[in-house]
Amino acid sequence: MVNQNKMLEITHIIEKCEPFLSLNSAFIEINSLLKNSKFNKENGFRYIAKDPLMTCIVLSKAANSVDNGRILTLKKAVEILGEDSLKNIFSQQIMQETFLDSRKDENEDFWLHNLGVGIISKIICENTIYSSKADELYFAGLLHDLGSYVIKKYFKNDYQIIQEIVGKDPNKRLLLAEKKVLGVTHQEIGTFYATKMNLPKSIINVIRHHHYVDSSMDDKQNIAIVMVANNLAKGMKFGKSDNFYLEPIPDWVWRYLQLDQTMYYQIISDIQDKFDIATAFIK
Amino acid sequence: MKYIVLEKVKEGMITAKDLLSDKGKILLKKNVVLDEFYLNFARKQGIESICIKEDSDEKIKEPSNMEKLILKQEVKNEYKEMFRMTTSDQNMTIFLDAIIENEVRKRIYG
Repeated sequence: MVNQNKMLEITHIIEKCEPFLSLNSAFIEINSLLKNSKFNKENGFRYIAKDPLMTCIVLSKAANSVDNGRILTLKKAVEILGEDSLKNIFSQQIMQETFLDSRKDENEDFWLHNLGVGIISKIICENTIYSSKADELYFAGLLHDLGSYVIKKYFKNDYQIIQEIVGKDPNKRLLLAEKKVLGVTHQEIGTFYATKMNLPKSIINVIRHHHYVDSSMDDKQNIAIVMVANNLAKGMKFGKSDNFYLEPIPDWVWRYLQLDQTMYYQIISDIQDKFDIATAFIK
Repeated sequence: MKYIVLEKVKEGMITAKDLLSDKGKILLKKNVVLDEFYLNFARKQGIESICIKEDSDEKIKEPSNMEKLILKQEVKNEYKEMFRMTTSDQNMTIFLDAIIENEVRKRIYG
């Protein structure tokens, strides 16, 4: 049973925590651009847009620098901040400080899963009548597991225990294991963190409800798309999620999406292509 | 075949797939020998990476139908457990078939 102190500890840590980064191929690429003085707005954007934590930091910094807060798109955020600010944010010092104790291999698979969900969310959206929201859905998918990054970073021991519980018995759902150990799930922790970082409300709703779309009152369509994308990313083995099993999708989701079933083979083929293109830079 | 980031694509390399724009328009057909003109064109279009033919592509032996069938069954078995909770969902079942097909293709052609 998780006590009240644990809950207080979690909220306290998230309130106090600084924006952080995770070591993966996208960040290594940014670092290499900076080191070789090749970083500019365009190529910087390309790699930032592939990583949830870098995207989160840029959206947050841009939101803090404008009066009405909350920037919906990364492109807009990059425009607001400008090249020099971006360079400062991702300077080599950050890399050295953040990554002294971390290894790329530990994070790569999880990062690829998140990138995969972003790409798939966008492609699903493009195949529906809501295609104008495709870019927004990409970032919602990319950021959906933000809470798991926070758990990995600030609650390392608890994360290990959760992994052991789920690893020993795959029937144990990830959310149940998180509840048991932390008292809250990665959806809730991600919501605290995303709120603190001033992310757009539609993205926060996806982070909060991506395993149970029916529990949300708002942005149900976005959540539904990311939920399907999460299943497909797992099915296509893009990286590795913390949760092995695919989740049941409510019937209304398919009715809402109105996807053409005869296009499913083409959609899977497109997803594979786009994922291969997006990850071609990985050494 | 292999996706290569545009900065590393060299003249003389051959496209292994049609090169598409973000909106799905064909920019370059497959089997095109890339030269400076095409590479500049790709840069202007903001292309990130190109699918390039490799020597090993020619050496891939097309498996027989029976071999394909066996491979497909193997892949199907691997996916069975993961999709356990979505077996009654018709849409996920069709997606699973498409994913299996994709996986088989990947294992044969890389």
